[in-house]
Amino acid sequence: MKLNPKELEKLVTAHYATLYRFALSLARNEAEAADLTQQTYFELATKGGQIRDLNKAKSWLFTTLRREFYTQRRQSGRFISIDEDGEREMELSDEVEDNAVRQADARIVMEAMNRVRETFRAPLVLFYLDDLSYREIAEILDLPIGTVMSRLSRGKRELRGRLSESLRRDETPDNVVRIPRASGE
Amino acid sequence: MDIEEAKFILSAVPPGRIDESSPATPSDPEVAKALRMVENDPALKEWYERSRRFDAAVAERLQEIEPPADLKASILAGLRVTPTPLWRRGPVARWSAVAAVLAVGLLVGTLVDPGTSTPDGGTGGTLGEFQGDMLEEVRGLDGMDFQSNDPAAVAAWLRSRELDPGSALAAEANGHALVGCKIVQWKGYRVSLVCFRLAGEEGMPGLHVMTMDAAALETPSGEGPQFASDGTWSAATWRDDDRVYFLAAKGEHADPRGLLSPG
Repeated sequence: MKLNPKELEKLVTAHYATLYRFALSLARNEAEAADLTQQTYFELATKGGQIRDLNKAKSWLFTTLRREFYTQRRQSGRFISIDEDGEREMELSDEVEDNAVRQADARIVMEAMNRVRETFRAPLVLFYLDDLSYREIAEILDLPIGTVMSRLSRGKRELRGRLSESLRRDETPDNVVRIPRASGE
Repeated sequence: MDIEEAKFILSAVPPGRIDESSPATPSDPEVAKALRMVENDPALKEWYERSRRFDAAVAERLQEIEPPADLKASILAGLRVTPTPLWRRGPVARWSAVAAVLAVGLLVGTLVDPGTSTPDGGTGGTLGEFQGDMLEEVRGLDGMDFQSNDPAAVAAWLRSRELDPGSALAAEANGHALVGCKIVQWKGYRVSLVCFRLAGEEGMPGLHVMTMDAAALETPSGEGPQFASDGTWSAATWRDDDRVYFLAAKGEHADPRGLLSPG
């Protein structure tokens, strides 16, 4: 497939915001998220010929962004909780009212999402950001479908717990939560 | 299916993927089954509705996160100054590329086992196409997904991703140093790529073995091995039962498959 400038621009318009949000959930840093998004489109411009079907471009972009994130982390030596599955299940209350979530602002939800363990965070963010099916998420993350379903189920439970914590903390008057967290904070 | 299984399945269906006006007809039969249970079980229905409200609220909040105001303009400006890839350059470069491809194609043609069929020129999925695309992957290889010199670790990594390295790791026993592996895509199929340094050599990997499910090929199972060389890489592609192998080695090798086994 050959991508012409118009097609490239269309793909930027259609997906850059969602890609940025996905990058933000991985990097937890605005500048790095913007850089990852830009780098992903650079890859698209230089290697777009690998995409044989324009309908697959979205998956390709998400896959490439995630790969780029891990490559950069490896190269910079900053890393990484490779496998957090071995950790015990967190004992978090999942009693969070849906109304409270609806009334919370985006920063609270993102702050809670950022504290979900990395293993669960990537599938969860893909699930919520772009209505991707679990099959598409499995393809992007290169995981078996059953693993994705399990991580979604457990990740949601953890997200509820984290949201519950965040909402409680946000009620404290002197609490300041900055979202997204800058690296090293 | 019990209640917990139904919850497990329904948890994985994004908010926008179920048509509320016709919830019993999603494309996934397991989801349809779980949704039918929802209709007949009040407790499950309450859980499901609460879960959907939660999902919708989270999705809505996350969509509110705005990228930096100048990000789109910055990406588009970056694309305008990105070096144009070969496939978008002018006619001279394009025809040079076509000539190069034809030259490699002719070379491949002269090396094809005379007893085998040649690519059928169809819409894709032939052994020859696989060989050409994989050779291109090897030329453009820019890293691995998993680095290890331990064959067991590489095999485990691939198997955990439902890929079978087949006999690719046999090259390790033949003195070539395992470097790592990667997963590449070909026509919707996943292909495992295992990389080695050739025995006695340092630096970049000079031996790559790819393994793919033979179901990806459209051509008959009796098709024999194919060989190619572009002056830098010697390549062989062949079937073995239900797998297809591609092997590329640096340098001149009449039949590089010999690198996989002693002698």
